Amino acid sequence: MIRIFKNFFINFANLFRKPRTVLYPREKIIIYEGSRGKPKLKLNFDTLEIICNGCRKCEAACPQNCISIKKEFKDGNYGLDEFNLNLGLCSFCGNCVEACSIHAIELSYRYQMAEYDLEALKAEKLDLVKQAEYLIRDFWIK
Amino acid sequence: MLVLLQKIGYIILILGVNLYIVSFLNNKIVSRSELRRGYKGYKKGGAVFPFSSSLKYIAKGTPFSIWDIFIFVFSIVLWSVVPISYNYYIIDSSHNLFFALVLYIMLVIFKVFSVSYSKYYFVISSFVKRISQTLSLLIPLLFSVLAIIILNKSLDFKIIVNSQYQVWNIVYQPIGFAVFFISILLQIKLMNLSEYNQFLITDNINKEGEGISRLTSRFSNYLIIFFLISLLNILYLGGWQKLYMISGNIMVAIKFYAVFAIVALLERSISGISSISRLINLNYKLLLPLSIVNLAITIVFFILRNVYFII
Repeated sequence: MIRIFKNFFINFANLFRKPRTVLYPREKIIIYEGSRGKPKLKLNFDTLEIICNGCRKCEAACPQNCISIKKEFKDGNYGLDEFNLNLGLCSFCGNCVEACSIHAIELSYRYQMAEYDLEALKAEKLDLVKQAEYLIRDFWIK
Repeated sequence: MLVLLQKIGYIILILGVNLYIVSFLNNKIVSRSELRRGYKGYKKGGAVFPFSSSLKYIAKGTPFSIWDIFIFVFSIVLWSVVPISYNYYIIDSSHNLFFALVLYIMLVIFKVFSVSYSKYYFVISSFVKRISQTLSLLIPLLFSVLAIIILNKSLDFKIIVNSQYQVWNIVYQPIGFAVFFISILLQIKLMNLSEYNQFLITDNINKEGEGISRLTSRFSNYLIIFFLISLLNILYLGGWQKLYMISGNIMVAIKFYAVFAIVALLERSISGISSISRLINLNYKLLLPLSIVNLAITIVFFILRNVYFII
């Protein structure tokens, strides 16, 4: 009997509380800090060049083998030529971020990546750079 | 004849509007008590959703059982004797309460029969279980109604309501009200208001989108729920008596929706009482003794008042 009354008052109080569910495409919540989304290549803001030097540590650390890097020899130094990432394979584990010694790669908060075509999930160097807005957690409330 | 047709039209209109409001209210209450939003966020708060959800049943047809048709027809016929408000009834008789109860008992029997039929044969064990379950709910309800009849010395709804112009019957019959309320709450739970447990529902309508038989079953279930709440309203809560400046019709609506909201919330809260045996135990050990005590007290008061003129 006591349990019934307790349940009744909990249900009654819930009528005046804010619903927990959101109507996804129209309403969105702020995603949690530290959430792992699409990887992003960082830029050096002084020179506006990609920080990555193509050392291939992230390629070695990736458990899904979704990263492939090509180096180029330029001006007496090795530099990054191609950086390909297959998002269809990526599990967003973050191993590449941990493996990078010069902090050239990080995970953005972008997670809406549904595509009809598998080829569209294959990101190149420039695709991974153009994601500055997805570093802000509440970008979707705008 | 025209007046009669007009009355029938009004009653059907009121029942239709009520059906819409109640199905909307029920969905909202059930969902908000679970911290959900209820109907999908269509424009105007999902106001059109009850229509669209009823339309989806028509998409696929299933054969009716004879009991489903009986239930559907009788749940509509029931409203010819039960007044929604003052003057909103078709058959004006001084024994309306008796007719309404007889029709309701017939409906319950049809429901038990419809549940007891499997797709191909009649299941006796299921029938016996359901009969004992429904009797355990019906007998206390009838006893508490009998107490009201003794109190008001009438079987006419109008006289019962008019006798409450000063004090509602709930004051004289608190135990009877409690028994009646618990009984109708459990009956409504059996009729599956929130579509969770399925005791008094036939096998062929449990599946999603099973066609028009589900729609009619849902419709008749709602009409029976309206009847039970209206009966509670008339017998215990003063019916269409006006309160200060508020007119009778508005009072009926306020009381109806308030009781419905409480029932919908309580129906969610008593999810623990789900097995048939537990329910029968509860009814025979709690409801039946209480209703007998209530009836005995009422009879004693009746004798002291009308035979010995003591009170």
